Amino acid sequence: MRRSLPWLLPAAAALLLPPLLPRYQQDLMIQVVNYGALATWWNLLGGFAGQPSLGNGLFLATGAYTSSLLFLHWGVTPWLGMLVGMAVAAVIALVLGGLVFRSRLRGVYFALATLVAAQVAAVIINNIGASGSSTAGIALPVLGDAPYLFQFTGKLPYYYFGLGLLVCSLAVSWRLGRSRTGLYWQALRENEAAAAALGVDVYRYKLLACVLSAAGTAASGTLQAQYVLYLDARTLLGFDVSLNLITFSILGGLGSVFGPLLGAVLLVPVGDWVHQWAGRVPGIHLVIYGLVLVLATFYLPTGLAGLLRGRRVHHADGRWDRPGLDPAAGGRTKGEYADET
Amino acid sequence: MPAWLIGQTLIGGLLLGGLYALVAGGLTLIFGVVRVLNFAHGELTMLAMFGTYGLAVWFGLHPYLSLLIMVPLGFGVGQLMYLGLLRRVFDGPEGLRPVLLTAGVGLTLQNGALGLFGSTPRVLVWPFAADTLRLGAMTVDIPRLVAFGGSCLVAGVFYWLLGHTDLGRAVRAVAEDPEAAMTVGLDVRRIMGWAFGLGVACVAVAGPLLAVIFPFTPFFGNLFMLSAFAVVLLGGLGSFPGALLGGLILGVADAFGAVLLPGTLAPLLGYALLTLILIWRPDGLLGG
Repeated sequence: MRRSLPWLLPAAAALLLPPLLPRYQQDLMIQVVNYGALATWWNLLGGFAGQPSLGNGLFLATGAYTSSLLFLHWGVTPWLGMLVGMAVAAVIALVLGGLVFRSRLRGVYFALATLVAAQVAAVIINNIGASGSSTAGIALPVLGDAPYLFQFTGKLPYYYFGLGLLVCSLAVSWRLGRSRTGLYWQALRENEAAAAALGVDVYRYKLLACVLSAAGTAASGTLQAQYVLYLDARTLLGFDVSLNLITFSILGGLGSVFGPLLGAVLLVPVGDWVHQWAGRVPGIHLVIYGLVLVLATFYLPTGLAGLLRGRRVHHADGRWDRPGLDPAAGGRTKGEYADET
Repeated sequence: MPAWLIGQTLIGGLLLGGLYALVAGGLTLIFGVVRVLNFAHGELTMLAMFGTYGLAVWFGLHPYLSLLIMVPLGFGVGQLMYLGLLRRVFDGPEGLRPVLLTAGVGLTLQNGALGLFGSTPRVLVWPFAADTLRLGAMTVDIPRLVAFGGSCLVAGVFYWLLGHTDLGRAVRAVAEDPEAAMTVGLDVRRIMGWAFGLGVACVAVAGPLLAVIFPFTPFFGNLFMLSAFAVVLLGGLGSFPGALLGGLILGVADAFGAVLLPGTLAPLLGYALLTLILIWRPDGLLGG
């Protein structure tokens, strides 16, 4: 009981607290669970498999636009549209990953290619807009209380559905992280050449992480579209969308199951608070996120999760890390020269 | 398409491509030597533009003269970024943290600039800014021609620096194999600082040249960085000639995209070309 207490308490709070909160706080909670799920899916690809995507906004937008366009043009319920969106995102991930993972350059190359792909999508999406104007988004009709069409009058249904998606993402990360697949990811993340030499089908497992992350992210995209009822390329596909997810994951702990959620729980309210406090200065919360990202890479190589776990190595030069388990410390063999003379 | 329009588009594309090559060249130099992709590159370009704007508006300094201030400043900023920040988190050629660090710096700079300067587009009005050169039916903007000349000059300087000086040989040695370079007595840390400084200096050259051509906001870096990234993918990450070639190709593709495709779809031609080239050569034209 004592061991499970740290898990039961937040779980109970997540389930029971929101009905008691005012609408504004409920809205914040929805953002937290949504970003939590998105960051967890990013972490599956970027943290577990070590493929840092800078274009997860692409999959978010795929989910949002697929369900919304299916509904607007053919009246397909967004519940079904969400599943279609997940499938479409998975196919896009398959094609994109299939193209990029062939390169001999790793990691950063994937980041670049996903970033560029997201921008290509932004160019295309800006032209789907209903009116001729390039920046116009798409508004979904307000239907009031229509559970079959994924619309509710209150905020709670959105919250609990978002919580469900979050639990799914955590469950997949938890389960796969401890499975054979998770070990393969860890192997290819730490040393791809060695993993391949030992018989791990590196290409296939990278693609798997990419596809899972894409499908999960797309589901959150549909939720976001139905909650906000407005879509535009800037908010779904902007570079800062993907960067936010990375910031949450880095602060919480790259490659840990609960780290990205922890990052979102801490940073989403901070961002909101800063936004309220200095509302007239645009982008101020992103300045804070940027500084958090810089400071976290500097002082928290294993994130808060690594700090909480307590088992860490204190290097002579002041860095903390856990060799062998942490992607942030990966590939250190060639990197030593820059630090140690 | 009439012949003069093709010629006009081709010239416009090549001139634009020179600027792409300049910014991408700095990016690829940093990547080749330090093995870090600088995600703050676009933001530094944007800051150089605002710096030029500020000097011109407050002190009446000619945009091209501000190069004399911007280039040493950019070199210093680059050295500072490497020695003050990146060196301390460096954890291997495929490590994530240095890249994310530069992304954090970029995010901070962009939104800091947004808070300070607002999102109203700035236009640097200078007497020569609208001058054109007539070549038969074609016209060429003087500022773009100057910018292309500047890019070529920088490329030439780098060619000489990397190929024919001791510093260049040291830089290439570090890019090739840092450990071996250290074994023969090179100060790897200092050379990486130099490379980062030179990479940012490229951007400091581009800033003033760009400021008289395009209206700009704090988001300018975003757009331009994307083109620079596409260029390094196209040419091959870490290859300086690749960046030059990729820049010219993307510039021409963008120019023809703007003529052939409707309005906001213009960048698609370049990206389609990029995709085709990556299918054909996954490591870029001159990479790998």
